[in-house]
Order: sequence, then structure tokens, then C-alpha cells
Amino acid sequence: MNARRRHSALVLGRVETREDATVNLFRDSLRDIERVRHPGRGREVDMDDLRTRFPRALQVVEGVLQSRLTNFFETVDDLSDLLDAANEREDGAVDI
Amino acid sequence: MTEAQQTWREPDADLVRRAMSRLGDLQHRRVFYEKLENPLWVDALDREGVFDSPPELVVNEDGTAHSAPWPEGGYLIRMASSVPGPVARILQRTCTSTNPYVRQLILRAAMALPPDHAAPFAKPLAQYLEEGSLAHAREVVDLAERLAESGKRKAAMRLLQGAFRPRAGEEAAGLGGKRTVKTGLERYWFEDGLPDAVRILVAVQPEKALTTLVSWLEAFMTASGEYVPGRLYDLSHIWRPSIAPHEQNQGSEELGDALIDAVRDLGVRDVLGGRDVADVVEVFERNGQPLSQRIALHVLAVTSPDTDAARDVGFERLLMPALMDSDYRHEYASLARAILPLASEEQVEAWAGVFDAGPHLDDEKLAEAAEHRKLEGETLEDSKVRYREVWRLKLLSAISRDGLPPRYVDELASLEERYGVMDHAEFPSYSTSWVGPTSPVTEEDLMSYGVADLIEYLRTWRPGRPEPWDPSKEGLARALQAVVAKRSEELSAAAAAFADLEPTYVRALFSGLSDALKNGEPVVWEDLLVLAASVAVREDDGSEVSGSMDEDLVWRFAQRSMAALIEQGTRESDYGIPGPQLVRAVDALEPLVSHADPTVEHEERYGGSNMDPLTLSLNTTRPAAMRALIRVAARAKEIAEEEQAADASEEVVSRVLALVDARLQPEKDPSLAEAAALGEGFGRLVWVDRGWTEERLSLLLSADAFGDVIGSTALATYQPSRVLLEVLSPWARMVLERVARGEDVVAGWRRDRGPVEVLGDHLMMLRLWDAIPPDDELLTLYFEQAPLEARAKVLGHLGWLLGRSDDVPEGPLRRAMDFLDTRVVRVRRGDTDPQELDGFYWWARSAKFPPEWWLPRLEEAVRAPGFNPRGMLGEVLEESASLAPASVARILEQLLIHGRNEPFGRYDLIEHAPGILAIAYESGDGDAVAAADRVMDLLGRAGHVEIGDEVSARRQRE
Repeated sequence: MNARRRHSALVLGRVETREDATVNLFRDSLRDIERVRHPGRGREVDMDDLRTRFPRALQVVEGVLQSRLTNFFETVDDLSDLLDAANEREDGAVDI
Repeated sequence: MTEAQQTWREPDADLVRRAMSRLGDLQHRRVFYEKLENPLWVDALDREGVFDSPPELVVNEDGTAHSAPWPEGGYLIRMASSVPGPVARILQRTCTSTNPYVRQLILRAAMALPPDHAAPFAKPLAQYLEEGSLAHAREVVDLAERLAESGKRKAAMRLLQGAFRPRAGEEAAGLGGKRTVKTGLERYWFEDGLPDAVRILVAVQPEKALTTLVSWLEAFMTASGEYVPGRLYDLSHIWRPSIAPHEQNQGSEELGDALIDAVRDLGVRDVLGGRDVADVVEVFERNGQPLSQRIALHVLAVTSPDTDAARDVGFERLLMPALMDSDYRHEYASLARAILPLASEEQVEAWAGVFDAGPHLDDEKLAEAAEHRKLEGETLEDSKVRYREVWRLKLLSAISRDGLPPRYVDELASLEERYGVMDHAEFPSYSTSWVGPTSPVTEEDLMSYGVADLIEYLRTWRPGRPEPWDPSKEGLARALQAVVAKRSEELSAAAAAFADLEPTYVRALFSGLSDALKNGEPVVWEDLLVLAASVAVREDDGSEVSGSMDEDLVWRFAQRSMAALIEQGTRESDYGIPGPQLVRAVDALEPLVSHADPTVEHEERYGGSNMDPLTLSLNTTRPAAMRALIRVAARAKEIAEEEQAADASEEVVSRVLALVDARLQPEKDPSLAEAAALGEGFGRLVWVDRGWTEERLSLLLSADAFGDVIGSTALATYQPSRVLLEVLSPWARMVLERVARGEDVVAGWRRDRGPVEVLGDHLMMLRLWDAIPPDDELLTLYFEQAPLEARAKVLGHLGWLLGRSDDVPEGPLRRAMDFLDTRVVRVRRGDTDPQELDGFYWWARSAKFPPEWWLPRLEEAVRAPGFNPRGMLGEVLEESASLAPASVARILEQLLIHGRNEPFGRYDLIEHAPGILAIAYESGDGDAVAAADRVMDLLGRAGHVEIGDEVSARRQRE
């Protein structure tokens, strides 16, 4: 099973051969973490960039794993919070 | 950015990524995208590639196809009116999708987009229509209308052509199969949407709408193969006899009929609206199809009373010889009726000239037609004259007297005198229905005949014409049977008078008397049994009968009716065969016991996979006689016991047993239909003489199909009884050994339960009533050797039976529970497969057992992978949840896991899940809560995202 299939099985819960935005996001985040875990001898590490990207990557991986491993409705609650933020208006109002 | 968009907050990349990271599960996507309202997320998500991979159609192994939903697409549709540009841009990228679900979404989006953005989707949508992806999408007509109203005529026309223009489908298989015709919308929506489509066409292209519609009808005729270009012939006069609405129009060509109606109405509207009549007619006549020509004639007929121009053009058509042909007749006659009464003398003369020159066939064709119709002894020249006169009669009759010039009214009368009145002459063919057979005399009239007159009438009446709807002997026999049933006493007493009548009427007499007995009417047996004996010896070699169905050509049907009458006469009744006359009944049946019917050939042809032996035994003579004979013996013994005079039955019983014996040895009757009759009489034979029967068990219950049919028919037709099972037990043991070796058992009566299952049913029922002990040898053997599926069905069937029974005493219920427990113990020990408990849901549902007993057993049963409660458990589980919340929640969990592919059963469980889960959560029991959590997760991930709210609502309520 290639990496894409493995990642899709983990992220989506099924083997998917086509591109999927969440699988791609997870794969990119994992790659960022792996790069820090195994720094290349000749590769420069930009510490400022690292400080920004590493927590973001961790957050994505954590989000994906939580959605898969915790109860379905716990993630629904999280999504509800995210929707509140997404549906916010400039004046701070939220469409219900 | 519009004013409305300005109030929404632009999403930041971090929030978008956080949301995406939580959207791995399809159902989480549904939850999120269904509630995402901010249109500014469209571009933000697009930048992340969220809309790049709409789901594709997945073809399953069995050839069916399914598609995953696309919640992201649903969000796009909702945003289409707010941010039409980005939505249209994104959806244009997905237009190549072959997934019908995505294509539907594109249609819905196009409906929501402003016309400028929607118009470019017309081309792909028309393609989807042609490929059948939007066959039920009536909305395409609404979209076409919206586009037309916005001046997007080309786009509107593309959609209408895609939806309504017919094209050739596949060749239908089988004899006479014709080509199917496809349209973008399926039949119902096609017919529903066509009137709107016509309205849009008229709005978009007022002058060309009729041309477009006619071209669709032309395309239908060509695609269906109804019209072959160049032949100038079609079959429309058969499937659409009248262009105007008429009861003769069968509506068999749904598409064609709908198009004809639309074309016809638009043609009339155009003419009455002032359009040049010649132009309109030219549109119809351009393609040369007879159907279009007929519609043109109809339009002219309808509009000629109001339009001079229509009258002039119509009169020109009346003078066209080809249109006097029968294929155009209905519309031609209608036009003639409308115009000829208003025509000038010159015009009438001109028409007469054309009519008088008819029929318009060249000499060769006229000779061919006359030759084909020549009567016996008629010369060809005479036949030609007659052909010409009949042709004139048909056309004049079709036009009718009201429309004809006076001199032709006289000719019509004279022709009718010679050839008869032509009903429905305006149609080349006319459909009507008839129910038969028909009697030459009504039942009421036949009732009034005295016996002598009745017999004389039956003896002398002969059918006249051979048409199916004309009176026949079978029709008369049916009336006679009804009369006999009402005058049974009188006509049974006069049975001797029927002796010389044909078999059709003798059968009717016996059948009518059987009906009378069933209705409690009196029958006099003495002369009747004499007649029966004389009928029994009528010759019939059992060979197959072919030819007329209007009368009995052989005696076996009357003989079978006689056997059935005697069988009916052995049932307890005031008018049954008196004891002293039973021996006469044996006399009558004796010749039939060795009747040739059924022959081996007959049984091979109609038995086997066609008819089971028991059904065949009801429709053949020898088995019918055997069935009646055994009943006669049983009746004799019954009467003897009632009268406490054993001697009274001795002669009848000994003769019957000797006749049965003769079918078993020295040479056994090979007929399985006969075996079925013996199986149906097996219990009676045991009762009449158990010793005699047991001495012949090796002959009756042999290890072959004959023995199987007797044994299985006996089990299927008798209630469980200890005596019956005792006598059958050697055969039952043998059957169990055979099925254990994988051999089949032949069923005498094929129904939903096979012989092995019915044997199990008898055993279980006897155990319940304590007629056999718990360790009965045959019962034990059954559960050791019967196939797993049969054992499971027997246990399930018992639960079903108990559920349907009222007031079952405690004892049988206790024994049922004890027996089931012995099986559960064996399952636990691994001695038997858990699937043996597959039918246990019937026990749970029966309401005869306490939940404390069935719940733990059900929990064990549901672990078997094949356990399928078929939607029977939801209610009882919810009712019992408060007694054992953890157990019920765990059962629900197992059922949901194993029943993923059982939509009906799943629906039942999901209906009752909120109640079960609410009780589990409220119980405070840790196991129950954990199981409920697992069930909630299962349901949420399966798409039941509302279950959380439903459980909360239930908890608040309770």
C-alpha cells in the first residue's frame, strides 16, 4: 500500500486513490514534522519559520487523529465551535 | 464584492486548516458544510483544493452503481446566488464528471445562478440529459424557461432538445421486440413537462415552434422503427387509431401519444391564431410520414368550420386518391364530414369523380387483393366487383350519412343491404373486449326448464359460428352447473337421464352437485351412484387432448368431477353418502383407480419443476380416485364407530385396502401424483387399519421419490400427532440420514417450508404438548443430523407460531423455554453453530416470554454473523431497555454492526435507537453508557448525525 493510500485510510477511514484536500493537508503537515525530526545535514533550518510551521503542523495532525479516534459527536461539538468562527460577521455577529 | 458579502468576515488560513483537519469523516463534512453560511469561504476553500475531487461513480461487483455524497458541492449550491462568479468557475471544472449525483448538483447550481452564469451550463446539461443522468430532473424545464425569459434562447433550446428530442435506444429482446426510444426525461416527466416545453418553444421561436415539435415526432417515429424513411408507411393507424382523443387510443406509445397531442394542439392553435393554413399544413406534410399527414387532416377538419382557407386546403386533400386509403380513413372521413356538406355542386362532382375511380389500385394490385379475398365458387371478376363495392361501403360508412351528398346516402343504404352494416367503419381495425365462454341460454331461462326439456335441450343444442365469443357447449355447461347447484335434489334424483349426454354436461352435473353439497343443499345418491359407475367405465386412454377448449373431448374430466363429488359426499353432512351406499361409491371409483391418466408422458410434461405432485394429483384422474377411495373407507369406519357396528364397514374397508394394495404390489404405480394422493390419505389409512398400513411401510415409505412424496405430503397435510409420527419415524430417520449425507428429499407439496423443516415442526409441536419426552430419540436425532438452516428455521418458526397464538398455556411455554435452553447450552459449549439461533428474534417478539429470560439469550444469538431480525426487534428492545439497559444497548450495537446491508432492519433499529440510548444514558450504569457511546459513534459515522439531538430530546422529555 503506498503512502497516499495509507494516509487516506488514516484520515478518511477508507482507502481513497484520488486527491483529497484533508489528506493532502495531513501529508504536508507530517512532512513538515518529519523534516524537523530528521534534519538534513546540508539543509538549512530557518528557526523563525519552524516556530510558525511546526505548531501548525502538529495542530493538523492532532485534529485529524482526534476526529478519527474520539467519539463522533465530540468532533461534532468541535465543528460547531469552528462553524461559529467561520460564520462570524465583521461586527462579531454569528448567523444561527 | 457585493454589499451583502462585505458583512462576512474573511476567513484566515489557520481557521480554514483547523476546520479541514477535522473533516476526514464524510459525515463530519456533512455536518460542517451544511451549516457553513459564509460565502467568502468558497474562494478560501478552493485555494486549498477542497472542490477539486468530486466523488466518482463506483460500480459494484453486481453491476449496480453508487456514489458517495458531496457535501462540499451542496455548500457551493447554497452559495451560488451570493458568489455566482466563483461558484460558476469551480463548477465548470467539474462538468466532466460522469457521476449522476454531481451532475444533479450542477443542475441545481445552474438553477440558483443568475442567467448569465447559468447559460454556459446548458451545453453540459444537455449532454447529461442525452446520457440519461437527469432522467427525473423535471427542473430542466424550469431552467429552460428562466433562460428563455432572460433572452438566453440558444441555451434554453439546447436544454429542451436534450430533454425532449427522441432518439433510438436499444433493440428490445424477444419475439416482436421493437426498438426502445430514449428521451432526456423519462416517460412520466416527459409527459408532465411537454406542455411547458411547448409554451417555452412558442415564446422562444413563435414561427418555428411547430416545426421543432413536428421534428421531435418525426424523430420518435424513426427512432422507434414505426416509420422507415422512403416507405411512406407507418403503423400509427394501429396504435393511434384516432388523432383526436378517442377511447380506441390505447395509449400504448406513451411518448408518441404525448407528442401527437402536443403537435395536434399546436397546429390547431397556429391556424386559429391566424397563421397561414398552407404553411401549417406544409410543416406537417414535409416529412412524408403518414402520421404527420393524418395530423394535418385532423387540423384541417377541426379548423375548417371557422376558416375559409382551411376549407380550401382541406378540399384539396379530399381530392387526393392516396388519402382515401384505409390508413388515413379516420381523419379523412372526419375531414369529409366537415367539408362535404358545405361544398358547392362543382366541388361535390370533383370529389365524386375521385371517389368513383376508387379503389385506387393498379390492375395487378386489385387482382391480387380480389384473389386473396375470393369466396368459394366466385370468379376473379366477381371478386373484383365485390372488393370495389366493399371499399365504397367502408368509406361511405366512415363518412356517415350526415356528411354524404344525397346520392351517396342512397348508395350506402343499398350497399348495407347487400353486405350488412359496417360498425366502426372509420377505423381500419377496432378493439373490443369480451368475457366468456358464452351460453346460448341464460341461467335464469335454464332454471325454468323441466327435467325432460332440459335434457332434450342439452342433447340437441349445437353451436353455430366458431368465433370465440359465440355460444359454446362449455358456456352452456357453466350455466348448467349453476342451475344444478340450485336444483340439486331434483336433478340428482334424475341422474339417470344424464347417462347419454355428452361428457361436458355430465361433468357439469357432478360439479354442480359438489357445489350444492358445499352449500348444504340436498343430494339424492342412489341413481347418482349408478350414473357414476357408468361414467367410470367410459373409455379414455389418458392421451393428451388438443383442439377445441369449448367442450370436453374425453371423459376424464367428468370422471374426475365424479371422484370429487364422492369425496365431497364422504364429508360429514346431512346429505353425504349414506353408509349402506358407500359400497356403491367404491364400485364407481374402482375402474378409475387404474385409469391411464396421468400417463408417464403427462407427468413428465406437467410435473417436475412445473407442478408439485400434490397439485398434479388434484388435476389428474387416478390420484383423484385414490383420494376419494381412501376417504370412503374412513367414512365407512366413522359411521360404523358411530353406530357401534364394526361389521358395517368391513366390506367397504377391505375392498378399499385391496384396491390400494393393487397400486403398490406386485408392481408399484410409478406416479408421484398418485404418491401424493396416498400421502394425503396416509393418516386415514393408519386410522382405518394401522396394522395393514405398517405391514406395507416398506412399499409406501420406500427410500425413493415415491416414499418421499408420501411421507412429506403426510407431514404437510396433517396436524402433528404422536401416532402419525410413530408410524412415520422409520422413514423420518432414513430421511435425516440422507440429508446428513447431502441428499435431497422430494417434497410432495412445495411451499416455503421443505420436508425436513416440516418434520422438525411436528417434533417441536409434539414436544411442546408433552406428547414426546425431552430426550425423544427422533427429536435428538433431528437436532444432531438436520441441516443447520433447517434447525434454525424450525426454532424460528416455533417462536413465530407462539407469537401468533392466543392463550398458550404455561406448560407448553415452559417446555419451549427448556428446550431452547438446551440448544443455548450447546451453542455455549461450541457443540453447535450459533446460527441455529438465527430465528430467535421471533421468540423475543412473541410477547410470550419474560424479557429477563430472552434478553441474555438474544445477546448470545446476535453475535452470530448471519443474525438478521428483519426489522422485528426495535420495538421490543425499546420496551425492555429499562430492565437491562446495558444488555439492550449491546444488542443494538451488534445488530447495527452486523446489519449494515439490511436497510429495512436497520430502519427499524434506528427508529427505536433514541429511546434505547436515552434509557442507557439515564440509567447511570457505566456499561450501559459505554455501549450507548459506541452506538452513537456507529450511528454518527453512518450518517445519522441527528441521533445526538434526538437522544437529548428524549432524555429531556423523560
